[in-house]
Amino acid sequence: MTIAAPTTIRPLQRGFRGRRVTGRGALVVLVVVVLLLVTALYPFNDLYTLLLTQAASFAVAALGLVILIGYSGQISLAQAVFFGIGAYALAIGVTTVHLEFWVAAVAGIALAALLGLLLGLVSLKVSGLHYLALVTIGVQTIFELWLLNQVNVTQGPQGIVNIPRAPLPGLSLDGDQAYLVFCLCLLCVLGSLVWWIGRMRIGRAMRAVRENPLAAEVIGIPTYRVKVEAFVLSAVFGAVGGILYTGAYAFISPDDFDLNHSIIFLLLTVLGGSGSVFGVTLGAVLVVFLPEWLEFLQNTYMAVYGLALILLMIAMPTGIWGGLRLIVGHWIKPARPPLPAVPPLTFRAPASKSEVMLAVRSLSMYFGGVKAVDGVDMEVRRGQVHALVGPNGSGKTTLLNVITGIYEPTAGDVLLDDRSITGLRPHVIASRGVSRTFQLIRLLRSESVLENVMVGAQVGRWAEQAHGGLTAQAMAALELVGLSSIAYEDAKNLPYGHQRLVEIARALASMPSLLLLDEPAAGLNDAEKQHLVELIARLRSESLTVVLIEHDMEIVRSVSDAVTVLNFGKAIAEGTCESILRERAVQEAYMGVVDVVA
Amino acid sequence: MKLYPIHGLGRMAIGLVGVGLLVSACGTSSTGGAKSPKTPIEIGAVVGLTGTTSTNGEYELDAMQLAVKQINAKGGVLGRPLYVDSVDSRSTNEGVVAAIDQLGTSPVALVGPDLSSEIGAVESTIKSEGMPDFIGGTLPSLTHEGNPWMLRNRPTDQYFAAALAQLGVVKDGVKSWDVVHTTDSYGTSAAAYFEAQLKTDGGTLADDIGVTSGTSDFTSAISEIKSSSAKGLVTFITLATDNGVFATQLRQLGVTSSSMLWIAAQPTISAPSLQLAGSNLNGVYSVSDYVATATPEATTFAADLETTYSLTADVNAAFAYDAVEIIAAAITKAGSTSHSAVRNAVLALKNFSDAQGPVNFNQYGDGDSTVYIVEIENGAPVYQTTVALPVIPYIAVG
Amino acid sequence: MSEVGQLLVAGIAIGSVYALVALGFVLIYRATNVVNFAQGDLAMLGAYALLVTLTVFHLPFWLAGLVSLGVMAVVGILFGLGLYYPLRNRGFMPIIVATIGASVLFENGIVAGFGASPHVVTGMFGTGSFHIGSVFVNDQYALLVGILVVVTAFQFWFFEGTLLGKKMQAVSQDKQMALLLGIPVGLMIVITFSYSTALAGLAGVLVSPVLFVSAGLGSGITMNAFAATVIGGFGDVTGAIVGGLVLGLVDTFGGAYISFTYEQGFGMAVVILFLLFRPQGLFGERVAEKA
Repeated sequence: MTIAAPTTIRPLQRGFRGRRVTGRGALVVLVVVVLLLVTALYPFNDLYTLLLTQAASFAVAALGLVILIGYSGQISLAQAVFFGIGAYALAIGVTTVHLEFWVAAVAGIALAALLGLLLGLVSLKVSGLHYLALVTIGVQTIFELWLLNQVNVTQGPQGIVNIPRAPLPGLSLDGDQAYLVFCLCLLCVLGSLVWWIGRMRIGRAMRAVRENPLAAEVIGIPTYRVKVEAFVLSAVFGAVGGILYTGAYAFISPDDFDLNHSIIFLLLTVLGGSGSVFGVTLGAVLVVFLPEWLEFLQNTYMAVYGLALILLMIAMPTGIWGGLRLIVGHWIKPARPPLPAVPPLTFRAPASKSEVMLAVRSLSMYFGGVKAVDGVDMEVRRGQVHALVGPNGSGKTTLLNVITGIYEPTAGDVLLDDRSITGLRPHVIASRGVSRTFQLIRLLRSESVLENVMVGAQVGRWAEQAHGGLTAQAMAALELVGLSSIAYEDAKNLPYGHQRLVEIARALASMPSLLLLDEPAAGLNDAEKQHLVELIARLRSESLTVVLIEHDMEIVRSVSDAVTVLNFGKAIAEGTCESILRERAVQEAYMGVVDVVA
Repeated sequence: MKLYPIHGLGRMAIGLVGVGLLVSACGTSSTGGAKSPKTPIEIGAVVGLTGTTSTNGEYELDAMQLAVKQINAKGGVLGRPLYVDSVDSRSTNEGVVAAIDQLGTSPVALVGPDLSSEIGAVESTIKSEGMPDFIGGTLPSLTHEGNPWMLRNRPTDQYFAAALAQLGVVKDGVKSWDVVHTTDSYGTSAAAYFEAQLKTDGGTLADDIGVTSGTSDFTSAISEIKSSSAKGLVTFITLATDNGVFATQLRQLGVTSSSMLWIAAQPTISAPSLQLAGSNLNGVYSVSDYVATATPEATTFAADLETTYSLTADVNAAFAYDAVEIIAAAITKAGSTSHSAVRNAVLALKNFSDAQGPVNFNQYGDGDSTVYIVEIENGAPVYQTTVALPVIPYIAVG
Repeated sequence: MSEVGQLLVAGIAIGSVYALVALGFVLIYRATNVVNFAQGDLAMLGAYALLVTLTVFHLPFWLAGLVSLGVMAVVGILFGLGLYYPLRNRGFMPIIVATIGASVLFENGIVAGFGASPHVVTGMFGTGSFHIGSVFVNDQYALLVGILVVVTAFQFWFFEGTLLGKKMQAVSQDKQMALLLGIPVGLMIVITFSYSTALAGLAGVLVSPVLFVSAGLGSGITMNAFAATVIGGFGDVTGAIVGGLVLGLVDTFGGAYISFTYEQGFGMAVVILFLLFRPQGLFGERVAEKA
């Protein structure tokens, strides 16, 4: 049964196309236009025009790092490589091969994207940011050497001169100030694009991957693809920055794309504020201008510059933009658009399919010599609440992890709707309608409750459910667990019980057909447990299949239709709650064997 | 206090305005004041004081200050004192261009940069600004790109190559050569010109080894040298530390003056380089545009630099010192500080005598074709002879 | 072949420099999760400390070296307190950037104070050397290798055999737990910084007679030390040493047999390949998270 479209829903953020132009948005556009006019007409001297253009090109390149470091939480010390590929492709293309400017530019961006793809694929194999940093350093080192020594391609250390600027129809960019305005316009456009990316699904997915890659993967985000996409995007922006750079100086040589420059890109991104478009613009301006402003100090000026970097970082570890926000935030509160009142989610009764929704066949999971799961058979019937119980260390969570694809089993099979899901990646399994929660709560702590649940919503197949897009879907899930009133709270500020419910809401927002709950009642007080029981009962009444790992036998007794008992990785009993509690093996497992002394 | 809530983008915009105001507060054009008869004449200097080429910057700047001091002591130029306005290039392309922009068009002439790739970076700016620039780079093409403002009071790599070949191949009769060169704009091009000259003069190139700036160990390169059949070695190594380590290791690994004839190009006999290489360069020859014992002017310059700044004079110091002298002479001759008048006066100088030797500028702006042969004895370069070279027409190589 | 022998000696020599710097690098990383971009520059500062003690105070080399170590230990304390301490709870990005700032500060501060020209210092045994067969061995490098062995042995004894060392290990493995056990974590970290900086300074002292005392001495070393750490397995001390030697040998032999111009690239290429096939390094452990 589908719910009728509620009459009280107000259309909300439906994505970029559907966004209403707000009064505030118009103000922003006006301010930016005014600033561009000022830059176009103010009589900057040659030095400042040049430095601003340089800063603009650096900022565009750093937009790539906003995506790579700020959004997806990775690292790169090879941004100068992409910068250089864009620059050299353009320079060689136009001056040597005599291509059209735009053809050479596109070729450069494409080449950079290709290398970004390769680097992204490599990054998947390395486990850890420090290793990734070193791989990028290695790529940078090799690229520098190649640029310098492959003289027949790159002209070597002599560099390439007379690189023309972008030919715009009807406009000449020969004047340095005109070119500066062009670069700034491009920075605004690309910056807005990156800002928008951050607000949309892909940005949300990247942030989830940054904060908690495992949770992201299990929620259904294809984490590998997201990471590689981040690298490709960072390469593209790097290349565009490099193309702008060639126009600023009309000359490039290998010295311009060395490790020092990659370090500068990293530096300005973190210094400015890695998650923010405006932050990196500030960072670029600072890194380019600070040495000039300090030059009056003469001998010691570069040393003072280094000291300034240290002090700035200590004073504002979240970057200058983060620091400014902190200051401004005392007086100006963030915008919180009113949220729709939506009815809670409901789950459809499934079309007739086989009775067994989830089947586990002879499943074994060994970690070296430890047999965490040892030949377990289990059948979960559609529409039932199936509890998985057992003493600590009996393999319950491991079993859940195998089912959701986190581990590949040593032996055995897992079937969902009669299709094998053994060995599939977690996000693929999630896309088949499986959602779970974790024993240790895995929320995106620095995001709001609403954002957390929206991550769950955006991977779901729920086109039929709620009108009004992701936000409405997320609100509906929150309504179901009873937390819609605190949608804007930061997840980390919530009490434990509420965090648990947010996780459940996230799992529900994707409209799963199978929900796996790992010890949801752990740490809850009695009232919260009661609420949880009511929630599970309601889900069951809407024909959602639930697998529940629980220690609290009261909860198990009140909601479960079937129970499987594990001990030392083996299934020792299966049946209804009453029947398994009567079994001797279960009693012994929980309470030990009583030695009767005669 | 809760004010009117502002959308996130709005805050961005406010911040943009703030930055814009801050930046624009600093970016106004400076217009030069009217020049009264007694105002000092500005000479602009672009030198590497920080960063990787920074060993030369100190020498160039101090040498220029010495020249200015001496000229001012004699009453200045056209009754006005000179002064040097120096800007650090930070040894980067961006820094060098920013330095030129910062100096603007108010100096009567510029001195520097001295690295060929950096000169390439500023070439178009110099052309559009229309002011004389005395460059220290030896890449021949720099004065043949149709830019009338590039003036060079140093021999080009073509002349150095000819001198090297004349000394090594013609005079000493060594036919087979190894070339070791830094893979920067200087080393690569200088080596290319030498190798072309070698072919012309009937020599053979046994091995060409490119070394990256800042190499800390040359063992692999030296074993290549040892296993090649060459009897002669020419090196174009730019950095002082590279020269020091290379010379030391070459001797340690058994290549002596008797086993191989080694002629080093002039960066090897810069003062910092000599200091580091020490006795390992004894017996090594070099071709250079400056050596203290070549002429009385050269000797006087060396003595003055030592006394005033405690620096040993070398090719870089001499280039910068002479540039100032030439500028002063040109202004006096032209009777004006206008850029074009000064430039024309420079080109009109005949046999102008300075620390590097007599200078005569051709129509391309190249003024020095005097190359000395020196031999290093007791850690110092000693003048042997001046190479007699014909005028060499420009060709592009490499 | 004496050529192979000579290359072997050269690779071990330069590899030992990387290893010594990498040792300090690893220790800081294990204790604080910080990648120190200024590690090579700390070696450079050690070289300048040596310069001052040799030329201003005219101490003999061995004494000058010890005094320099002492100076660097103090510098390490200041480094840890000034840089790490204010940022200790902020994730590793701000600290990386702060160490980048420190690198700029050190290199340019030295140029401002001492001038840009490099300086010569005489090694422990003058310009002495010896030969193994026809293979030349620089006394100073032999000394460096010897001291590397001594330091490794000392470190092994210190970390496994003394209470202080065990405490420092505890801090590097689990700070929270160490705190709960009553170990003064802050003090341990300061000691780690001090010791690591002294190690870096030691490398600078030992190598400066060969590579000269210059502001740029450290910049080529940092990345190689980082690479050595990774090859060995991030977090393992033996690994850092093996990593350094492997890197030195790969660079040297690659430079001799493939291309001298690309010498710096071979080590890096090996590192990348290494990480693709054995991401945990030679001796590192594969760590799995509890899901």
